[in-house]
Amino acid sequence: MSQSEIISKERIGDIGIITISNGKENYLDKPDFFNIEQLQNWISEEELKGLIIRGAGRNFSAGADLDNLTELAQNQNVLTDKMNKGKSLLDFIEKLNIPVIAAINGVCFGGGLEIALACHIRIASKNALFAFPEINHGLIPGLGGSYRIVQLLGNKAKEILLNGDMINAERAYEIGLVDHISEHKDSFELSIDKLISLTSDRSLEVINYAMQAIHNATLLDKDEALKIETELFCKLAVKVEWNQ
Amino acid sequence: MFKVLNWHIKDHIGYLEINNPPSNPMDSEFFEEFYWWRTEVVDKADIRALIIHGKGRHFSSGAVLDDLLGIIARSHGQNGDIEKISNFLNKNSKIFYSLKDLKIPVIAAVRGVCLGSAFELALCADYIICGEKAVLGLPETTFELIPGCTGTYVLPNLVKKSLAIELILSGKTFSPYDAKKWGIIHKITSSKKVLNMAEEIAKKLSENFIQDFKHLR
Repeated sequence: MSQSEIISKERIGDIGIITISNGKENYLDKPDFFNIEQLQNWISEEELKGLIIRGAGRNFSAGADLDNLTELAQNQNVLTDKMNKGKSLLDFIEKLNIPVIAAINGVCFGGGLEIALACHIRIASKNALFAFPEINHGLIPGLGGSYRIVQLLGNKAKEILLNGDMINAERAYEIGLVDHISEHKDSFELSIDKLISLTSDRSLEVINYAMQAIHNATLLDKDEALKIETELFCKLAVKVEWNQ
Repeated sequence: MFKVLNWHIKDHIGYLEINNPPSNPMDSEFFEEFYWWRTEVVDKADIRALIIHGKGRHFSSGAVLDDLLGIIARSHGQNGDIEKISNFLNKNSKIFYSLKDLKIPVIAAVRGVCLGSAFELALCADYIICGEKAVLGLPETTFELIPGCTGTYVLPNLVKKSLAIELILSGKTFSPYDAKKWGIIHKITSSKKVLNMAEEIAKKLSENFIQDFKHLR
């Protein structure tokens, strides 16, 4: 599987930028829009300290192209395989040991919202719009988005999940779907500033260990999480200079 | 009984004071005494609530880094790995977190600085009350470390993961007003009234404290 042609990647300083670029609304051409191995290699070879996912132009992404999806669905096995790969990709992004920010302008629908939910921090411009329109087509989010949004918002997730209605940036901030609203009309500005402030004076190791420990907090049981936290702390501590 | 801790009971409320002013740093002696207090003393005390606070103007500035780094470096030098020291230090995390096993409400009364391990200790309490000038935070990453005494576990389970990531990676300190907005602390009052208010809350909570509150996330 190769990387989708709608995806481009670049770096600014130690931050990697992934841009979804497909027409005005950045429709996703397939669920597995990025090859996990290539993504992993890029991040480790370039020693990236953070990642931003954004859409080109005015919108983040309107999600799956329905015609494309219908075509894929002709062959159940192909669709299942692609959905599983798409899911693995978002799981991979969610578990990355560097902070990942979704910089969201304009529409962030369906698969686009599922990508944003897999990111660690969501920063939206004032004109951002969020929805899971799947339900209007007799579908549900298929890349883990329904699970993630319930984890994030609890009962408030129903507002988005069950009726397919759009919510704006202000409402998304109120219910906690987005973490920051950008004053600048392009949320990328605040996203890159934020990532630089979180990572620039930190070694990659500290960033990786802090992220790993934070992931463990919700993935592992308490004793295991605390044990690993102390181990990671000690691994870092032996490298820090101290006054005898 | 203790050197860097003061322990006394009044009207069925236990007061644990971190006693190493002015900033009440947590040195090796603190961790030893705290362990002893938690394992040998507090369970036997006839108390209905517990208040943890610092002597004087501050709660605590957190672990004494040189102390801790020295212990780790020596063990690493002797053993060639970090396993032994890591197991030893993990005891501190467990003992902090075990405040949640007490069947009485635990209140952290925070004035002044409450940073690093001190903030981690406060996070293991059931209720945090802060003076308006309190300074809170987990600054470990600014020293090329990570929080090592429950912080990376407790904070992400208490607030949104995105916020935990920002607070831990940035290492920035924050005010009690921000902490209250985020749901990390529960009450703010003037520094002078912190202890009095902690007492009022201790009395109120001890009458109808429900054990299930302990592990509410």
